[in-house]
Amino acid sequence: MILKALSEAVGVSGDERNVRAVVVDAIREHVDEVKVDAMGNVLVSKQGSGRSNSEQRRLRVMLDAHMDEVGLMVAGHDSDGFLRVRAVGGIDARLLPGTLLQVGSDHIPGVFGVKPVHLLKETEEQKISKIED
Amino acid sequence: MEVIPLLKKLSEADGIAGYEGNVRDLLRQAWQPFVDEIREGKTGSLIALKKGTPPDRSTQPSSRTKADEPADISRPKLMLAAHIDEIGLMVTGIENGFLRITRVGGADRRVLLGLEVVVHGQRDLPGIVATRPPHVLPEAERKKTVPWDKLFVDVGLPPQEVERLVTVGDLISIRREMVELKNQRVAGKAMDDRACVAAVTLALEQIAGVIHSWDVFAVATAQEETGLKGATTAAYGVAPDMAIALDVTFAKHPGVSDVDAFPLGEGPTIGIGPNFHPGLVSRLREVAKAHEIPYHVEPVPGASGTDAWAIQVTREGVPTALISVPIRYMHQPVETLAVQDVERAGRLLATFIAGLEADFLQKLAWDTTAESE
Repeated sequence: MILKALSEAVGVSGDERNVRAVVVDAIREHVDEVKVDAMGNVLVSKQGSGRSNSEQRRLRVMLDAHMDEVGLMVAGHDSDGFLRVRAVGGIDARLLPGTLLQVGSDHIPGVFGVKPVHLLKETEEQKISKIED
Repeated sequence: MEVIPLLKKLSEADGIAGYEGNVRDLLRQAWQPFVDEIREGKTGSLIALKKGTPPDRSTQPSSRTKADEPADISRPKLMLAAHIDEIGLMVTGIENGFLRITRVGGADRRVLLGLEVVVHGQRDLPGIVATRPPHVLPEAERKKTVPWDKLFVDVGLPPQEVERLVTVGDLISIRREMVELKNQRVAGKAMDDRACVAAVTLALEQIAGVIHSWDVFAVATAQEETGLKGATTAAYGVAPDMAIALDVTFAKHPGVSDVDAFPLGEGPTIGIGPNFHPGLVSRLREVAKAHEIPYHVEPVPGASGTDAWAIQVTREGVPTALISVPIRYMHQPVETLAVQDVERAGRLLATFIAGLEADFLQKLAWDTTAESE
């Protein structure tokens, strides 16, 4: 299912390589031309069948959908080997605790953990951890 | 037995407090080859007995089978307890096909958003925990943990279908496959306390072919997260002479103070404090040292919050100890542990049992003389 392949491919803004591969693979056979531009955009074109007179080229319609996603970036690590991260794009900090992550181009499995609920002070449960923490 | 596949099976099984059937079935199979009897407790615990060796047989193995045993032989009883229940969610209402939820046990609402779940309705339905997206929220709300009344579960079905398949009171389990991290660390949703259930399983395997003088009752306790209930009733039924509970403890990671937590990969902890019998604690420490099993001592100044708390005051009182496996991110679906800590906890139990002399209980008698100056 194309949705599964697209949704599960990693493509944090600026490094959409894996999504690009899925898109190009899926679309290649159905279009006339595939190009990747300097930004990393995938541009494909399919010529229309309408008649074009010599002076005027055929009309063009552009369909646009973005393939990048929000994510995190490693900003450093502490002496125990825990990674410190920063947000890439408007990631929702409320849903990070308890998630599984893939780190780096080798997709090293990782987890996003927070202080256990047992050790929280009453007011702390209300707070969303800052991504920086 | 391979530890990682065992941890995977145990962590991925559904078993919310009060509804531990799946884990019980899994364990009945896993324990069967190593024990003499298995029964179910009325609150849902699984109670297995591995009989000790009668004194005459421990010195001169004969061809007598267990059936020939004189009925009046009574050996001292050791109870091992590790809980099989996990925290989860429950349906409290249905609104336009969306499920309102509350928690069973100490579920942490900070980790629920975006979580995959299984709604145990007429049949199991996959679902996700959702709320309004940040784009449409006032600034102040974006920075706050989502309150219970703004969280809901979506199973994707139209409202009439949801009403037909789901009822208020249905349980919702967290769905999370165990992940192998680098460095022999694994992360899963229910390492609390299935990691210790695995340790008990390893210990049973190790003592299966070993002569030991005590009867060993391995108990997979139910309903720990909702009030130590399985341990309370199982300990009453087993009436052990001595007990060791196993649970998880906090491992060090950012945000947790060093006082509260223990390093991952440096062995289990042995609890010390009023919940535990000092003589039994000393013996566990001696055994660990003798077998070069690394461990840390965990100070527990009061209630341990574990099965040990319930077992200690069963009937006339039971000398009790606590062995804990450190995990990071407790009650989050990424409870992370070092595999070798589970193996070490299992080996500590097995070597302790194998070395337990028939009259060890006498050695636990409290000292009646005053402290010498």
